[in-house]
Amino acid sequence: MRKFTLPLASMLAIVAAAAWLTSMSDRAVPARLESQDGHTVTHTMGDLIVRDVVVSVHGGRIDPASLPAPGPINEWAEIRKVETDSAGERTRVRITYQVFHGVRGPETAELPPLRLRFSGTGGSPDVEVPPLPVSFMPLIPPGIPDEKVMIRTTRPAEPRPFAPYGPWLGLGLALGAGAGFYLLWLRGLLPILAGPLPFRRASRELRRLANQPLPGRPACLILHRALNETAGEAVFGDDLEAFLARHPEFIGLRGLLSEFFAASRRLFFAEDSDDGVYPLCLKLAHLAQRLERRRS
Amino acid sequence: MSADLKQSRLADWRQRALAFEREVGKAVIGLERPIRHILIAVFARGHVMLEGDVGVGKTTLLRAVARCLGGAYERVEGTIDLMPNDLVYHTYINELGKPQVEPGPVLKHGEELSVFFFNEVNRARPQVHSLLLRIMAEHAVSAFNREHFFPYLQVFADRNRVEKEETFEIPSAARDRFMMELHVETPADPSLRRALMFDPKFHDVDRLLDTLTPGILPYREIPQIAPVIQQSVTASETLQQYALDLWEATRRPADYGVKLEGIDMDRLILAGASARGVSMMMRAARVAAWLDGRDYLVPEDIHDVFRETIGHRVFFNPVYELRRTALIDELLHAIRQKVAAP
Repeated sequence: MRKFTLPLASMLAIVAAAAWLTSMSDRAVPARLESQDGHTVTHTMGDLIVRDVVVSVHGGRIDPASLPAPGPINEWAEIRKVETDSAGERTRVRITYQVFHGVRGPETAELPPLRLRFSGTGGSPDVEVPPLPVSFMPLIPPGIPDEKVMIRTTRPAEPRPFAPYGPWLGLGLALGAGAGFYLLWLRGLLPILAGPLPFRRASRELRRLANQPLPGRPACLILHRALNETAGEAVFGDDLEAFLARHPEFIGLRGLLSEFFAASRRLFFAEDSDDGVYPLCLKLAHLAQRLERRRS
Repeated sequence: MSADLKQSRLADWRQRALAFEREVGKAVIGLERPIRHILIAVFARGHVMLEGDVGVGKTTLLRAVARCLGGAYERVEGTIDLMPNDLVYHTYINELGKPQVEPGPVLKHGEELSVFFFNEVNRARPQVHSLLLRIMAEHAVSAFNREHFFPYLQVFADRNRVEKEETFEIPSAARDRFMMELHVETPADPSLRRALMFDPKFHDVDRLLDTLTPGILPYREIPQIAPVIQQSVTASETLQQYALDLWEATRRPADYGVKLEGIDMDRLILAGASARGVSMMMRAARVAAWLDGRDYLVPEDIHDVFRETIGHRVFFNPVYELRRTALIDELLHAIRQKVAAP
């Protein structure tokens, strides 16, 4: 047993030493800027500029805190988006800028340098990315005063297919129409659904009383209800002139209405007989239904 | 008393009452409605609170009423230092240099006192209100170790609405004792205003009142005829239901669809009309029907006295109480519009 123990220990020590040496050799390679896209395109105010920076890294990772944050970086540029992705030993940092540099002639400016930090690499952890020169052209051609500039017409909206929205639009319209009808009904503004006018309904109800033994009291009640409904308030005998002033269409019935209120008073308050009350109510309702009109 | 005799007696009294109304109307012009209400209160045996600006004719009206009614008339001015004893007696040193006690305005005329006018009642202290309440409720007062009765007495009071300093608001229980609160205002008719300004007969009130026929109404007989009037005027089932609905609507107006602009109707009412209040309303309405020559009540009789008998008996929550003057008229008008009969 002892014969095999020593060679095994030696072998394990050799493997461990080799692994340590390999790792040490990896750490010894620093992160390095491989490329940054050059920009040959000339930009104008409002353009988006995509800056791709590729860094080769051996086993390290980019420190997110070293990445620039979205937001304004100077008077004429702001960072809209920062993305990173890694493939093998390469890490790409993509920064999208939007520039607002207003110039009167061709000009060159620089997007500021970057300092990216990597962890787990040998040597200096920082990678310096040089500034990126960018060329600008004015929006207005040189030599043209502002007041002479022709503003480009608004670009028409892109045609979009209607088909996917059709059912939703239909549903929305149907719900809106339903709500509208409900509100109109609630406020009594739907004449079709409001039912017959008060005196027309009273006239119909009065005809149904024809065969009753004592139709005077119910007939009076029906007519009082029609009058109250027409006036929108309780109408008493003393209110007749005020009622006629508000509803001049019934002025021709003043005499009959006075007679009706007198008969109602005798019937309900003097507790007199109902002789002649029913025909009076019937006649009054019949004439009133011809004169009544819907309130606007 | 036979029915015919009773009818005849009632008809005679009605003629006298209408003559009384015409006679009082000669002294105060443009106040037909307050005169009619005072006449109703006289026959309904109720006390009256008058409200109105200074110089609108309240005192002249009451003096005219007192003269045409007959009996003794007394007037007291409410002041902050007035004490209950001042109404009952006053003491002084007589011409022989000896202290003397004399009956005060309430006792001076004994049973003959028929009209007692308490001017600016809210300037007097609550102790005085308390005495007045007893006189109003019981027609009696205790003094000099005995009870004094005033069977014909009718109390009229005037409340100062303008000033708030040194006044004591009359509690709701006290206001409830008054059958009516009447608003007396300067007539709106320009010709009447012109007459008040330029007709010399209105400039000398004493002389004006002297021209009125005194004692048109035999005041001693009014307590006997008043219950006869109440018994002679009937209230049908429909009318009773209407009056009940009106009462209920003063308590829960929202239940009757009563709405006022910008008012939370569920929070408006603190207390509706009292049972005593609606009872007084019906007493007054019966007299109104009798004066109109009917022996049955109609809703219009109640309308005639609704504002005057119920207005001071509906109490609002404090948040609305400050707007009382405007709101009470709106509320009662809306109730009248919403409650139908039959």
